[in-house]
This record gives sequence, structure tokens and C-alpha cells, in this order.
Amino acid sequence: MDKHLLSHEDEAATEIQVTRADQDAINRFSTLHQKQGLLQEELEAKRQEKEYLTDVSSELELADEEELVPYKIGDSFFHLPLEEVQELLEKSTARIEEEIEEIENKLEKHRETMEELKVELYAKFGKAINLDV
Amino acid sequence: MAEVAKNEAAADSKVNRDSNPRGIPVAPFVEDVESFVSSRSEIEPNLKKFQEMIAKYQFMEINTQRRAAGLKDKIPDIRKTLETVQFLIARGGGGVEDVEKKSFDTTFELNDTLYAKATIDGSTTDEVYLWLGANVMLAYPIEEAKMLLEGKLSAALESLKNCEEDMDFLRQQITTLEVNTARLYNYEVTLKRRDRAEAEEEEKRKKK
Repeated sequence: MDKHLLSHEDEAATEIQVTRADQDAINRFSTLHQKQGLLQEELEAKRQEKEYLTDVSSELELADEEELVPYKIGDSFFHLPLEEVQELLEKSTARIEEEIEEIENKLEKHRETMEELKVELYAKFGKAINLDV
Repeated sequence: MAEVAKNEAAADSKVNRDSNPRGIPVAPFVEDVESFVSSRSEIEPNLKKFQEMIAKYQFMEINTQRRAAGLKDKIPDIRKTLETVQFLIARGGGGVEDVEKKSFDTTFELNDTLYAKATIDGSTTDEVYLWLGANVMLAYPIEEAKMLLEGKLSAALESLKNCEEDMDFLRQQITTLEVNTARLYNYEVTLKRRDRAEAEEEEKRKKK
């Protein structure tokens, strides 16, 4: 919340009554705002992981089919035939893609709700409220 | 999402208007500033009271954040172990007779940055040893190990979800109190300004 000094005009605006519903809207906005940051971080991490998986997949295209590939599960490497590793990789990639999509959907929905709340709150409070960072 | 949040909020408030499911109290909301404080002298103590409440909520927020961070550390660990167990089951553990129980090589971490090779005898993976903490390790049939780990994982995810809900809830209470503070403060400024204007009027009248 911005703590700037209020001019006389702004002050007139502060006399608008804040109802329980308004307060709930403000709270919802604030919660979503906080969540967006965390989700964004999570998304970055997942995207990074997906990139690693893609890198590994393309790297394996060049691998010798005869040789076993050390594949990390948990904390250890399991020496597995190439084909099996590719299967496991595919599964991991599919899972991470699903997770990324889920986060992206959430972010988008939150963004929409925040826009709606912004319109609603600015319409009522005008300059007396600041919802932009 | 917004709809869901709204519905949840509505359901919550019906069940309990004074606290959230984990017993964190709801912050008081000031509907009408003027009737909230009956005299000027009440403004100051109330502002102070709000500040104190904000500090308490922030303290709870920090604790909840810490708990969430701990769970976020723990969850990948459980997941890793579960993945390994699942892999062993897929390889033919768990007493599935028609799957060929081949031995295979692994490279495992012996110590930080030190890895060693080990051959896992495919016929021994029906039983695994889980580290339970406090220097205790226990042997489990692999299916049971899987169930145990799955249970632990879902419990950890559940409490992480609760932590996140609490964090949202705490954020909302803090926001409510911040808005209360701002409004009460502004009200005081308005009153002071009005006093000053009145005093000036008085001065003018005296001069006349």
C-alpha cells in the first residue's frame, strides 16, 4: 500500500464508505497478488527442468544403442538400456508439461480475476486506492 | 477460480465467522469509522491495537512460511524415494512371477561427490529398507513401502496445502487491518483539519 500524502481532493475520496464486500474484494486482490509471485517462481523452475529434460532427450539421440545409460532416479543412477531410458524420459517430460500447463492456467485465471477486481475497486475508490505495483 | 474462492469464503463464514479451520482468528473489520470511535481520544489506542494485531499476524505468517519451506524440502525427498520404489516394482519387484528378475548395475552416492558402483540382484528387490529417521532403518515388503511412501507424500502435500491456505488467510487479515489503520488515520487527519478550520473561523470572528 502506497503511503503518499493525500491532497484535499484525494481526501474527499477517502470518505467513501468501505463495506465488508469491498474489504473482501481488496483482500482477494491482495491474496492473488501474493500468489502470482510464488506461482511465477514455480513456473520458472518447472520450465528450467523441462529444458533440461529436452536437452537430455536430444543428447540421447546421439548415444550408442549398445551402451547402458546411467539414469538418475532418486539419488542414484541406474544403468539402463537406451530404449528404457527414453521411455522414462518421455514420461517425465509429459508429466512436467502437464504441471507447467496447470500453473499457466492458474496464473491466467488469477490475472483475469485481478483485472475484474481492479475495475470494480477503481470504479468505487478512484484515486483513494492503488492496486498497481 | 474466483467463483470457487467466493463460494469457499461463503461456506467458511457460515461454518465459523471467528476463525479459519486451523483456529486463526479473523481480524475485526471496521464498517463505519465514525461510529467505531466515539471520541478523538479513542483513535490513538485503536491505531496502536491494530499495529499490535498486524505484528501478531506477521509473526504467524513467518512461522507458516517456515513450515511450508520445510515441507517443500521434504516433499521432493519423499518423491525421490517413491520414484525409486516404483521403478523397482516396475523392474519386477513385488513378487510378480512372470516378470524376469534381472540384475542391474547402479551408481550410487557413497558420500558427497563420491559415487560407487553396485550391482542390484534382481531377486532381492521384493524387500526394501526405508530410513525412518532417528538412526532407524526398517525392512518393508516393496508394496508396503510404496503404500507407506504414498501415504507420507499425500500427508505432506495436504499439510502444505493447509499452510498455503493459512498464508492466504493471514495475508487477508493483515490487509484488513492495514485498511482499518489507513481509514482510522485519515479520519483523524480529517478531524484535526476540521478543528483547525474552526479555530481559524473563531480567530476571524474575534478580530471583527
